[in-house]
Amino acid sequence: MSVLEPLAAPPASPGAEASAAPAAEAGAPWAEVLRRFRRDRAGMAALVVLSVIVLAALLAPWICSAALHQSPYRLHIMDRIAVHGREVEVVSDDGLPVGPNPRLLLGADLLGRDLLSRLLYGARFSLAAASLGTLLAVLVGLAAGLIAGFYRGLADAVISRFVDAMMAIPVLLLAIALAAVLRQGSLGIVVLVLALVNWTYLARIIRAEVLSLRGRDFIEAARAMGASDLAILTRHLLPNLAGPLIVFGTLSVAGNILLESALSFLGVGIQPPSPSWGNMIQEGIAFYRVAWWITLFPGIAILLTVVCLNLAGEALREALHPGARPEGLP
Amino acid sequence: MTGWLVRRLLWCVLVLVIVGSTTFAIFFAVPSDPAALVAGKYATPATIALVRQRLGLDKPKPVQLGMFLLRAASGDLGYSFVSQQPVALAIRQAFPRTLSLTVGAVVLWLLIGIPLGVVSALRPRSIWDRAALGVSLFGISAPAYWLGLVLLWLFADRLGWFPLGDYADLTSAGPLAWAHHLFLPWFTLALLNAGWYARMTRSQMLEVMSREHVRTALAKGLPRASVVRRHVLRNALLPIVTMLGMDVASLFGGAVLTETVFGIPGIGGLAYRAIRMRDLPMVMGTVLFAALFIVVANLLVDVLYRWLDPRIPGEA
Amino acid sequence: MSAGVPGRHARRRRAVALLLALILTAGGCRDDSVQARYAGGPALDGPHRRGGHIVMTREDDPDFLDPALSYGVYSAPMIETVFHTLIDYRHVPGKEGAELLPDLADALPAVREGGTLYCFRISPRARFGAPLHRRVTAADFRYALRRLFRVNCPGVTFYRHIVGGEEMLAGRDSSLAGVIARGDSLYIRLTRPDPIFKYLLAMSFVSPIPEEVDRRWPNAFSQHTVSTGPYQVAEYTPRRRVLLVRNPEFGGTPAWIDTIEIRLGVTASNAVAMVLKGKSDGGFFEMSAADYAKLRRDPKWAAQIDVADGLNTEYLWMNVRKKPFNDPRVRQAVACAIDRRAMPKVWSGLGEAAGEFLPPGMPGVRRLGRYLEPDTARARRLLREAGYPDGFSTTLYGWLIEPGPRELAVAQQQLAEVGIRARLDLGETSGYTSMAGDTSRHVPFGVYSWYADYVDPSNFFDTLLNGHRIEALHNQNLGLFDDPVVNAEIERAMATADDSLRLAIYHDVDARVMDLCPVVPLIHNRECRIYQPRLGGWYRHITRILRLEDLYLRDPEPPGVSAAVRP
Repeated sequence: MSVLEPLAAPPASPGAEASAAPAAEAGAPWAEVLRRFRRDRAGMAALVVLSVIVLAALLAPWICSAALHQSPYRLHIMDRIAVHGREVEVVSDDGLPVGPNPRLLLGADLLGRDLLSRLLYGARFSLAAASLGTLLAVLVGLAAGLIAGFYRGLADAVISRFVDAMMAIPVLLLAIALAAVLRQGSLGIVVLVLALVNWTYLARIIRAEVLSLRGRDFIEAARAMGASDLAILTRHLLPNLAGPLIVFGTLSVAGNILLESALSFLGVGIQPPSPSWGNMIQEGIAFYRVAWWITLFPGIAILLTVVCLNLAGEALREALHPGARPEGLP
Repeated sequence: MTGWLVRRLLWCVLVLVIVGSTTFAIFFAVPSDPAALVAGKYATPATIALVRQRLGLDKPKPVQLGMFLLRAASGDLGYSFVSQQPVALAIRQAFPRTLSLTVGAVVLWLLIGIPLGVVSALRPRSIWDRAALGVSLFGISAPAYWLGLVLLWLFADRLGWFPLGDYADLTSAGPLAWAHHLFLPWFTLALLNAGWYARMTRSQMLEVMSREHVRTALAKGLPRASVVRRHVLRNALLPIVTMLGMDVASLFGGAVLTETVFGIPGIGGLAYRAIRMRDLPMVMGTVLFAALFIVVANLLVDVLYRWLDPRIPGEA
Repeated sequence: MSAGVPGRHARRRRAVALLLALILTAGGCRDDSVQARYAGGPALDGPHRRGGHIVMTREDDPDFLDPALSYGVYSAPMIETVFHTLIDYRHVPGKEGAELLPDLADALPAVREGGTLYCFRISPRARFGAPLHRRVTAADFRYALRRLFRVNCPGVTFYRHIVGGEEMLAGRDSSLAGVIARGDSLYIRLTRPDPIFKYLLAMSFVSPIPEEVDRRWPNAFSQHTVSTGPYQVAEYTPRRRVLLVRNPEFGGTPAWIDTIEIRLGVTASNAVAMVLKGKSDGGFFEMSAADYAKLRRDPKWAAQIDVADGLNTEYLWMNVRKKPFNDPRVRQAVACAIDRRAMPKVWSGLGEAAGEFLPPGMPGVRRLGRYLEPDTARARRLLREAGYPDGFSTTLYGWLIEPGPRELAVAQQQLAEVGIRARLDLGETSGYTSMAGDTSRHVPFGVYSWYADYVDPSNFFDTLLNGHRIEALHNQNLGLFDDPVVNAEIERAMATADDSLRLAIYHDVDARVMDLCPVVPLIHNRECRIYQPRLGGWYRHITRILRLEDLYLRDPEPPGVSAAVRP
């Protein structure tokens, strides 16, 4: 499945390249970009929702203990709660947990744990894994793309071939294999797996960008003035790469959330009892007909987060390359 | 052209070798002891030694890799550690199911995605555009297994329109039952992927429509429909075909999530189970099989581009 | 608004209509479930119809089609219907099913010389099926018993009391002198009286093997089976199916159904779906708790669910030779901390909380009902007395098969309440059991589950808690429990021929085990299976999950009669 939209379209049509060039050369005046971003209402709304989600994730411990008085790890399997005046078992004798009610807002899972608390903590794990994975992928992909695009020659040949080969391995299988082989269960391993699967896309994008940038006048000028390679890289190339990096970062986090949840769902990601949106769905999947809330809410959480990230990323991309989406015909 | 083709083919072989080696490395080099992996989490040292000997792991690693790759080239992918059956046979049995899943899904998502994209492009910023973009966004943002589950619950469990899980063979159960059982997985995959195609179609069409010669043609008063058909669609389709090639190739490697949710015994399920049970020959076999498709698809796409537009330079 | 292409709206409407029609047709094409109507339940006393073909399902391939090597609850139905042996249990559900009857022998054994000599005469009707078509002789039984030791039968230690058995186990001998075959007469001499030996003779390990076939295809008997039961193996395609057909040479009561196809590779959830859709008649699997939760409320299928007692105890065991579990007070604290009433919930109601080590379904076993409610105060006090006022940390090992992880998560929290901080370490089942059974690994704390192999408490106590049975590898007394009083009482009971006296001794042993707490029983779980309404004769025998030869196809209800659910 396409985890990420191909940002660098293979043999790109001349038109797209042409429209990409002006913004890159101008060095992306940030005030202008921000203004364009603010005009995209969907993007702004997405950003707001994302902020709420991230805030909820960061404040999860406080919310759970102070506001909800629940814990994501506490089993209430033998407890009874009062629902609409009646006393009800949190988990019935059949093993069926109680659904959404005033005490446990999103219901209980199979072991009687509060679903909402687990959802909030799950946000922490899922978002942390996705962001750190992207960060690591960016570091590695950026380095690889820069070296390949800037130095060309043997380094480029080797790196490009390696990237092509790595991209020939199906993403999900690669992730599953890595996660199953490295002692699964820790956040660090999941981050590593996500990074290993993602860096190739960024390497390609960066390489393409560097290739198109290195022939530009301002690079030639800097070289003529005797600037070192490192100076050119850091002072001239990197700022121009910031745009594609940010867009990639946003969309990559979105893809990572989906990938991490897929790994946890398949049992090779974050292990219970640590909640992750993916393993929450997996725990409830057998009971989806009778206890639908266990699988529905984590799925909605993933959907919402990824939609917002995609919208924000799209808005960012539009803001950076305004020429790419012309108006319709007269 | 021929020289370029030969170089490309050699490169394909090299990629496959790299893929095989990487998979091998993952299972053999990263952890401390591959025999321990195969023997299981709690195996005793004696068991591990036995396993190591049985699997031929006492030979030097490059020799093992070389032997495996050579045999793979002739079609012998070894024997599964778990079932002792030939890997190639298991893949051959599982592939028609994955093929069934892929073909139907592709047809469906092209039927959904491209028209959505065309509509969007022809009426940008309209209600249709927004609706199409909304559906696309939903599709690319939903977790595959969750979507499958929701559709399964709604259409199979609640409404009873489709069967719950299970796979019907085309030859033994007939095409109607086959399609009936596969419709929900097809629809799931279609929803997930149509979005990419709608967006790609839309952006490509918009981009082409803004080009000089198209604007000129329209300004001259040529009917919009024929302009769209003749210039816009044809140029816009090229990147779409590229994306399609890659997507189909990766689906042939097995849509693990969809196959798991809907109980389809295809390559994806085979690969996943093999990885969980540390069945190395099966893992190598399925990964190489999947990579083969991707490599071939890449090659075909490059050939297609080369043939359609000789202006585009080949590989550096 | 630009001028649209003429007819575009009409085209779109047609396309939508076509799509809708396609969906609706597809929806309407679903199979109509069972055409004929049947009264619910197994109809054990109903009219039996001979003939027919049924489909059963299984997930894994049978481990072996060799009676000496196969040892699994789910392979057993196939093995036991193809390979009969000297005696067999009565084919009825419940405790009456524990009664033994002659099968290939013409009568129950004459037990002489103080219980050490078992004398059988092989029935003239006992015959081998295709391709041998000859009578079964006593020599075939002798060959089979010797073969058990040769091929490393998983249950070979059951037969170590046969004279010469210990020598065979030690590899010092290969003749098994205690088994004497003279024509139709078979004599088995034991080193000492063993009241449960007759149960061991009902296990398919003792099924006769024709020497000529085994010698012709050594180590390949699974591929060249010769049947002594009502069915024979017509085909075995790994990962596809096993096909059983009627064995015309069988001299006993013929089976009802002509052919049974066992489809392999079908997961439990798919298996249930297949039954619900009418694609299969049942299978060797257990319904998941989720399916059970849904179907027990379904009026049509509720009667088709068989919830049966498999004589099981699932329990936590502790290594009594390692700190801190070497102190009985610590173990009692664990027993007091666990709230067993939560366990049936984890199992979706399929089981009862275990207050004793022996499953109450076993004939003669009475419930003790110990520690059914937790007593955290007492647990903390015991820990303080034992020198752990702040509790301690340990690791609890287990398996990944559901609902194991949930069960252990519950236990983990309950232990944490009294200060015992247990980290969970779960792995694949076979890996876990081999690790736990290896005494050199010093595993401190884990879970285990035991189903009765035969209907006598010695199967639980002697195998799992007798200090004299501790082995270095493949150990079953996982906690290395070695109490001289318990050992002596177990061995006294095993030598006692009088049933009620023997059961009384075991009752006291159970009470003592619950005092000393080397094990903390959690639940006696029940199995749950589902069968097609047209199938009759299904029941969970006290020792077998299903008796294939008792199944038959039922006559449908005459049209117009409502399908009432009979008890």
